[in-house]
Parts: sequence; C-alpha cells; structure tokens
Amino acid sequence: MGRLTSFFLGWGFIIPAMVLVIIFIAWPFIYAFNLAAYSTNGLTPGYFVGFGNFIALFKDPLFYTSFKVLGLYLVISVPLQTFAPLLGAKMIYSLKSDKLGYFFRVILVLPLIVPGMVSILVWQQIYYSNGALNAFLSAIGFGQVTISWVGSPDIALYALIFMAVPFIGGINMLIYLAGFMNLPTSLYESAKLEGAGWWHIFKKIECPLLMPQVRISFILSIVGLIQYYDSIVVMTQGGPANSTLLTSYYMFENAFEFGKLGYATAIGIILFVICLILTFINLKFMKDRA
Amino acid sequence: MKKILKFSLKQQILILILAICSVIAMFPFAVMVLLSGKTYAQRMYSIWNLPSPIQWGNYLFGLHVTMQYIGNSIIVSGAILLITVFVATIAAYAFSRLNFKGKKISFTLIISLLMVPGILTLIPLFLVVRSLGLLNTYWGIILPQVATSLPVAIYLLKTFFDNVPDDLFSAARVDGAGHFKTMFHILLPLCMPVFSTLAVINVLASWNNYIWVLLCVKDATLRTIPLGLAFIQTEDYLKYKPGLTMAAYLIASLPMVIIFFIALKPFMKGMTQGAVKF
Repeated sequence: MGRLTSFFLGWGFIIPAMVLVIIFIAWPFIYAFNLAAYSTNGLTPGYFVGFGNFIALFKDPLFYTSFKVLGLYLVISVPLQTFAPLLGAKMIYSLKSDKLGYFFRVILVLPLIVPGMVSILVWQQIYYSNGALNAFLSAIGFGQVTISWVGSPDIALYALIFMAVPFIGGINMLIYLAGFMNLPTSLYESAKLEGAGWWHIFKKIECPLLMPQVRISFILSIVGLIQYYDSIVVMTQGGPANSTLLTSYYMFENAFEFGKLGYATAIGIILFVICLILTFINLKFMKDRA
Repeated sequence: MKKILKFSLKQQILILILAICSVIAMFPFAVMVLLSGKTYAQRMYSIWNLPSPIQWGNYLFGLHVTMQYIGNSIIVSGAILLITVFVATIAAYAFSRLNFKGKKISFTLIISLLMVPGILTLIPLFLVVRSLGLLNTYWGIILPQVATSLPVAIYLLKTFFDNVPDDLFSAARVDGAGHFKTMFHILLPLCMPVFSTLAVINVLASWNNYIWVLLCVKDATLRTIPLGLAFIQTEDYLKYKPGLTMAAYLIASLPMVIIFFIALKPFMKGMTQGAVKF
C-alpha cells in the first residue's frame, strides 16, 4: 500500500472524530480564553476588557462567598465520597455469601440508574416544609425541629450533601470492589495465620494496597464536585442568602441569568485551572502505578 | 431468612448494616412510589401508609405527560451511542492498525482533550452551537455529547485493538478482506465487551444530562426526561398534586431501571469496567 493511499485511508477514518472534537471541544476551549477577555452578553459584540474580568472577579465579594461555599462543600463531600464507599466495598467483599454480596451491590448501584433529576425532585418533595421528612419527624415526636430544610441558610448546603445518603454506594464503590477482588488471596492466608483481626487486615494490608483506587476516587470526586450544579439549578438557585452559591453555579448564574458571558467564562477558567492541577496530580499517580 | 441464621454472628451484623444502608438508599424512591398512588387528601392524611384505594389514574397521567420526554431521551441517547461507537471504532482502528502522517499528533490531541472540563467549555459551546444554527434541534443536543464521549471511547477501543494479535489481521488480509471487512467481521465480534462498557457509561451520561439540554432546547417537544421532569415540577396546575408529579417521575424512571434489570450482568460489568478505566 502506497504512503499516499494509507495517508488518505487513515485520515478518512479519523476525520469524523477529529471534526467533532475540534468543533465541540477544542474550539470552545480556545474560544473560552478569548471570551474571558470581553465584556459581552453574547448577543451584541461587546468590548475588549483584557484582564478586566479577572480583576473585577477578585474584587467581587460574591465570588469569595462562592469559594467559601465550594470549600465547605468539598471538605464535607470529598472525604465522604472517597472513604464511605471504601467501607461499603469492604463490607460487601467480606460477605461470605456471593449471592447476598451481588444483591447489595445491585441495590447500592441502583440510585445511579434512576435519573439524577428524579432523585433531586423527590428529595425536594421530602425537604418541603410540609414534606415527608418533617412528617416523619412529627410522627416520632420531634415536631418542634421541623423546618424547611433547603429554606434555611444554616442547613441548606448540608441538606443538599445529605441527598447522597448513605454515601457508601455509587461508582466509587465499584472502583474499590474491583480493587478488593484483585487482591491476592495469599495475603489473607498469611495474615490469618498470624491471627490478625479484620480491622488490622483492613488498616495494614488492604488500605495500603488500595491506595491507587483511593487516590483516583479522591481526584475524581473533587473534579466532579467542582463541576456540579444540577441540584442547585433546580432546588435552591444559590439561596437562601447565598448559602448554596457554589462557584460553578455562580458561573452559570452570571452567564445565563445575568447575561455576563465574559465574566462567567473568567470564573470557568479559574475552575479549569484548579481541575487541571488536580488532573495532573492524578495522571502522575496513574503513571506511578503503571 | 433461615439461611441468614446459619451465618456467624459477625456475618449477620454485616448483613444487618448493609440492609439498613440499602433501605436508606431506597428511601427517596419508596417515598416516590408511595406518593405516586395517592391523591392530595390521601397524602395529607398520611405519607407512609399504603395508598388505598390506589389512584391508578395518576399513572395514566404520568405516562401521558412523560411519553414524549421518554421518546426524546431514547432518540437522543440512542443516536449519541450509535454515532459515538461508529465514529470511535473507525478512528481507533486507524490509530491502532494504520500508519499515516499526522497520526501521532491527532491521537495526542484527542486524548489531551480529556483534560478539558465541561464547565469551562459550557458557555463557548453554547455560542458555537448557536452560531451553527443547531440550538433547539436534536443535532444540537446530540453532537456536543458525542464529541464529549469520543476521547474516552477512542482510547478504550484503541487499547483493545492494540492487544488483538497481529496474526488475526494478517490472516484476514491474506484472504483479501478490505479494511471495513476486517473491522466488521473480525474485530467487532471480539469487541463486544468493550462495546457494552462503552454503551453503559455513554447511555447513563446522556440519559442524565440536564444542563446542556436545558441550554440547548426551547421547544417543549424536544425536552428529554431530566428537562421535562424539571418543568413538570414548576407547572402551576400540578402544585397541589404530588401524586401526579410523583407518578410522572416514577414512569420516567422505569425505562432505564427495566433495561438495568434485564441486562443486569453486562450492566454491572460495564459500570465497573467503565469506572475502573476512568
């Protein structure tokens, strides 16, 4: 086969993929850096402001508020999403009965199969001031603590995080479970011969060997949570009193509620830099593992 | 039950903890199922008791309002899956089995796009799709999501093709098979496990996509399930009819849940593989 033929053949095969990723990922990516240098609502051309959007951003108190909310959200959610599924996987892996193990695995993965929007909307119904949660609390005699759960600034963010209860399932559990199943059984035999208890085995043998999975879950959780805003868009719109104003939602709000596309893209670039640093850390660890 | 009693105490405690966690995980869906069969009066009387009589009409209403959303979701997710798999397969074949100028750099480009987070490209993507005149069309919903899923798909398939022994290919070439024939007759049957992994992660992602469809779609007739349900919740005439909205959510959840249980094994395997690889 001539070099020219293979050139055209090769490019013929990759051109559809190249066109799609260039138009819908690479071009918007480059465009973002241009957009962030403009003050524009997307309808009129707008005007060039250079770094003006970033300078305005660092003077914007709401931007700092959003970072505080994001920080709190990450500090609570990331450890929960990283370590609770590790416990869940450990419990399922420890079950002697394979059938029961499979059953629990299916049940704990099921919330991923139901559309995320359904969970959000049902939780909204549960959190209403006369919703299911308050009805339950009244029924067991805690009528005086009933409140509108997403309506109070002190509680709204925690209420949103709590929607992932019981935290032990999901994709991260599957990552850990696959990790457990790849552990050599000889390790367990020698540990048992020495009379090590399950906690000892978990702490001294399993956790160190599952470190790569822990790191991946950790990074994936952070990068995923930084970009998350579905439930904020539907349930709280950043309120009450900006208590759920995640930076991602602040970007969304600036772009599509206030029409400040350049300003919003500048927020997006800052979030991108954070994600990029974390992705590099992740890649480095992945290479170390390989 | 008798079987569980045969286990050691430690195992029984473990089963109990897992059972409690499962109940908690199912709690919101239990609320949805219970409320979906009730009128407003029945709900105010009690959330927790079983609906009696069951308001079967709620489910008819649910089916009526969500049918179009379900149909749109099937069209969108199906198209995204088919286009992704086809485009990614031929590209991965070229990257893995052909030598041509510009191969390395184009592969590096595609893989490096994995690091571009969706949140950064959301706004410029909206402007790009608008200038292409694709807002408020099926293609506008579909093509950006195809592009987003291509890097992972190409990477998974290329890695797989790299591991197929050369002999298989040369045997096919000796028999005079062309590239497409090699691909479809030799590679595809081998590829089924990768395809099912791709299908699972791809369909779950597009089935759940809310933000992009929210930005892209104006017409009610183009709404997918997440967008449609979010709108149902804001309808004034449904304000005091939790039974009707919950029935709609329940009906809209069913298609994927049914597929999940029909294809349980490949589904679980696909999710695990998809999670471990990325």
